[in-house]
Amino acid sequence: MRLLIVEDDATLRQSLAENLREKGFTVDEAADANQGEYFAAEFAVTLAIIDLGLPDRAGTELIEALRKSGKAFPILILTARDHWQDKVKGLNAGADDYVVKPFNLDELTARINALLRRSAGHAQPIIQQGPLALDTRSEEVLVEGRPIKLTAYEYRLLQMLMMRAGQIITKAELTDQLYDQDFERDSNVVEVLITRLRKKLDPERALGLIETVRGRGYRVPDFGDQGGTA
Amino acid sequence: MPVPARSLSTRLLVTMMLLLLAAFALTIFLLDTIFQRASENAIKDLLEVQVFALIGLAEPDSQDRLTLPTQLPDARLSSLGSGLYAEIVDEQGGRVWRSPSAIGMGLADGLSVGSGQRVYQRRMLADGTEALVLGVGITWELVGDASYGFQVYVGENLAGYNRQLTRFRQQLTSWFGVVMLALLLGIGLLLRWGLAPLRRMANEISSIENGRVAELSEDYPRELAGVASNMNRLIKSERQRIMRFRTTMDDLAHSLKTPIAVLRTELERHDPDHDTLHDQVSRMQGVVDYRLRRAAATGPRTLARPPIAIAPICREIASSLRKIYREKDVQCDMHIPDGASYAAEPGDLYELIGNLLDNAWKWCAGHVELTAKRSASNESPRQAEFVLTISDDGPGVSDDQAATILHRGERGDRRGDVPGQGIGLAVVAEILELYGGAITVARSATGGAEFELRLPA
Repeated sequence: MRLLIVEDDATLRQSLAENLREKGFTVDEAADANQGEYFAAEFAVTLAIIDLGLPDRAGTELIEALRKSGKAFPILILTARDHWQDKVKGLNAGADDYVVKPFNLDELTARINALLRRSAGHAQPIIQQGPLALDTRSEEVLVEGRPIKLTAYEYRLLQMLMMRAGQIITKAELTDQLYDQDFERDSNVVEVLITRLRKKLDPERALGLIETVRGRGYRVPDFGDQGGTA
Repeated sequence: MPVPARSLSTRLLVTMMLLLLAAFALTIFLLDTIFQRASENAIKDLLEVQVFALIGLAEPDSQDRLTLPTQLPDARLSSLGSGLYAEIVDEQGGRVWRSPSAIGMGLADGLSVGSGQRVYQRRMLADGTEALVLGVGITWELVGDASYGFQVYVGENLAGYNRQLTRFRQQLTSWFGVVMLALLLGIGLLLRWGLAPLRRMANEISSIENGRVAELSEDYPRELAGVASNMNRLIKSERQRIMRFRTTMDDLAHSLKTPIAVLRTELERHDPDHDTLHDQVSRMQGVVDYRLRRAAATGPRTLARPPIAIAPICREIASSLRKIYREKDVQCDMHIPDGASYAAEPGDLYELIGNLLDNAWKWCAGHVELTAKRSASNESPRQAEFVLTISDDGPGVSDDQAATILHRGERGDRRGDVPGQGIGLAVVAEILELYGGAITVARSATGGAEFELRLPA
């Protein structure tokens, strides 16, 4: 899950990025609209958080530019001015939701999760695949109703696989979404993470929750329409 | 124009003066020309009479020579230096006769005129004076076929004429000068009187700046009454705005000081209580949200207020709300007459409609209705009102709740610990107060809440 933060206030940007990294997201930080546009073009961004008051260009202009260049990832607006005129302008420019400063980190994470889920086509906050349930609001994972304790990275990995259940996700894509560009690209890390996840979710390996597709990647099988995906 | 642009009076006076000068100069020139021509014609008539009188008196003597009686028709011809001269010259230019007054004047020297012709000429005479000379060529027919040609010259000294002309010019210019001064004085007085209200306005404005007067008086002439009343509205709204900001700042400072004090004391402890810190920060955030969002209301613009179309704003907000509440399938019916508009700050309209629609969206079961119309006021039927109704099919608002919701926005509410919820309605109430509007809550036809805004049109 690669997030792009475009925010000119360095303190806010860094603390926000740190907090989101702790929650298992990979975060790219841009200090202005031009840098933001560059990151969006260079990396596979899953979601962008854009401040409306940027030094070089209005945030709405950046959003319009991103949408014009065909970027479809969800965009969350950060704004200090809680005025309807601004919100409407931002949303009409192509943003999907807004958060007013000063915000609560839990609220922001909830909005991010909701946007990620919706953009993956899940209308309900709980994604269910067979015995596996993932609550995007509380970031809880249940297997056959039993809560499973996961680390932030493990949770993000599972979230990615479950949001695109039935599809194969390549190891390269997972690495890309889970780690910063400066991280050593050791594909082993993903393998280790998958092994740990399997051990936690399904110690007996009886449920077949995460499949390895040899030479291509991993997949959570689509258990069919069992409530979650509406 | 190099005219100093310092005052209106100066500009008008200078322009008037230039116009008057041009008009008077033209008039003086015309009068002068007419006078000159008339005087000259009078002299010419006189010269002609003299010439023909002389011709009438001339007699041939026994040798067929021309003679004139010693008793001349005009006594001036006989006296030296009288200013009227006569001389008769034969065809060869030889002098035949001259009047005693013309002696030594050289009246006809160098002149010649053909038979049957007449010529007027200005010339300097030998004594250095200027004269107008008429020369007439005549042919004298004698008994038999013999005939002699003569040229009769009569001159009138122009000194008198020149003196008269100078005097005329002097009188003309001095009279016109007097008239012009009088006119300028009149115009000056007129300007003073006419521009007095402007000067008074300037004085009043500086009095307002000094704080001696609150507003401009109302008794200005029709042309300035509009400016004065607009100025008064501007001053009033400016004052209100300052008051409002001051109140907001006071309230803000007031409500922030307590949590800051708590934070300080808590931080000075060895082991600050995390929950207390958190609570106080939340409280401060609530205060900032509430006070600053209320202060964001711009209020009615004082001068030109272009009407803002309602329908596009409603549509934009509805499409934003569809994004924000994506999970909720809301049917929103809008009944807005074509071209419905209201003269307000666009930002204020966005706040009014945005907050109410947001509420409706939040609470509705799936249906929101918005109606805009213009109608007569309940209180004074002649006053038109702009009425905006937003209703939903949610749980509705109880009477108790209604009172709380709507009074939170009132002035005089200085509670610092305002909950985050309901700020939207407080903003609505604030804006309505600025525009002189009102809001009521009722139960909608579907049992939900129905908010009705009434704004003076």
